[in-house]
Amino acid sequence: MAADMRAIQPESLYKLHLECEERPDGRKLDAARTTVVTRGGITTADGSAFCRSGHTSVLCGIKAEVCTPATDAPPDRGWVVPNLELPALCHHRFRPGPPSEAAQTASAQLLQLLDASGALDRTQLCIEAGQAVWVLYCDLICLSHDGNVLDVALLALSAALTDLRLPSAEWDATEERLRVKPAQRTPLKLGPLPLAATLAVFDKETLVLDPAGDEEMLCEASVTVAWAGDSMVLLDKTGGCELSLEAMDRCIALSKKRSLELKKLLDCCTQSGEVEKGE
Amino acid sequence: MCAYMWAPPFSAVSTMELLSDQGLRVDGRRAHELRNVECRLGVFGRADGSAYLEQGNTRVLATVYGPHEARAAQRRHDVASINCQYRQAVFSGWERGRRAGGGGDRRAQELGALLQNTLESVVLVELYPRSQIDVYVQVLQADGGTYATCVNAATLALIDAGVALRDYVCACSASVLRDQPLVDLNSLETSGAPELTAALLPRSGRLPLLEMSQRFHVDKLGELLDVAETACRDVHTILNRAVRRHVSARSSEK
Repeated sequence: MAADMRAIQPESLYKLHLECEERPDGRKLDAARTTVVTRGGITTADGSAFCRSGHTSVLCGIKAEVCTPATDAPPDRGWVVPNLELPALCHHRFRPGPPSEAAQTASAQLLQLLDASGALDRTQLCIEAGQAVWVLYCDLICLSHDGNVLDVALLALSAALTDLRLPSAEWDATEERLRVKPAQRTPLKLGPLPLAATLAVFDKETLVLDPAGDEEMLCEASVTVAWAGDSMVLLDKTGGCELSLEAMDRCIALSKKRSLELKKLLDCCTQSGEVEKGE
Repeated sequence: MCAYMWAPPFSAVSTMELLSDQGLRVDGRRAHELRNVECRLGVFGRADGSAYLEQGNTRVLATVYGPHEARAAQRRHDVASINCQYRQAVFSGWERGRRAGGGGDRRAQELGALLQNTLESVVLVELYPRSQIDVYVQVLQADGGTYATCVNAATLALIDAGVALRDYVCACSASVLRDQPLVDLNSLETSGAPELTAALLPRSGRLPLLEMSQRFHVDKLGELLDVAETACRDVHTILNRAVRRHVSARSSEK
């Protein structure tokens, strides 16, 4: 019965769920899905992390490369290049082909979030000013898509950055060449990492944390709030309906709570290096 | 953009070092030994079928969607069309690969087409007329024998999706080094020796795929095929065991 109704009238069914304050997957409205972080699974990458939240999984691998800074760029700063892929593998709706608009937007948003948070001082990536700097290619692959990819991708990116170990490199001024020792590796010094929480809006004021794929399709609007420590780095509301200031305040409070949970999760995994679970 | 590269940890290994006098390979295996295989079926709940396969340090994920209604361009009135995509993550190798998409990666396209041919020989396509089966494989980490691992993972994902198959397709790579046939090469051995990838249908003993890189003497071919066949049968045993374990775990859940 429920399956029929889900196919024919998904919206009415979901409204019924909201009236009972329980979502189709059994969660409360302000509960996130079980989130798992695993670091360092990919040994060919300089840093890697795998994050799963419900049925959404993102794998992030970071490769560090050396390059000469462009003449119009600051000579003593490296770059970070995040790139999120949404391959056909992750959802039946996606088709093989060039990167979709959604993937490109998310990649740009990840870079913006990382810059805004100030988590990574890019002067750390400088080997010799004007001669050689590190470029961190952060490639994120969405392996399974069930809503809220940006939050999971950002968590994966943050976790991979904590896992990153850069090879020690020195600039030999006399020979004008670079000496890299891949065996000696050091972690980066990182500030508070950006962590995001997304809420879906139904009926202009009902807020649902960590929307799954179906909820993302049905919702009227979605609000993403990202935090780095105590400061807000992104507030993004997309979608049609207007939102009262009171609802916005609740969004901010809920996202803050969620980002603290995620931070705890990230800290656990930073210490033990292995899998940790959290709500 | 990239002005300096440092060599991967193994840049120059001579063929002498790939096989010790005691007959041991660089990773301590004997010539006929496979690497450790770990596999899991049904890793993603949202796909119709999925499998994760780890063969040594080569890690591959395969996902199957379908059979579903085919798009007009791919629809065939009497059989199902199989649509394959092979993707290799940019961080999967020692050197960062080219970005996927935009038609940039010809080798990936070739391997996708090759996988499609291999799978067409084994899926009972006539059971699903006017429909389409999508098989997507994603290489997460590549350490030799990537294509063979992809074929094995795709088989497991098809089984997980419940698509009717004639048989398993089991693939393995093989090579010959100083007159000694080797199976299941890692990336170090691939760089120093010719590589032959064979896929086998274990019940009929037919080979739906045979691909080789670099030249070697034709006299060696017979021996090499025998070795590859045995290795494919070993792979079959492992895959079969994994499928049975998965099915019994599923049935005990219910």
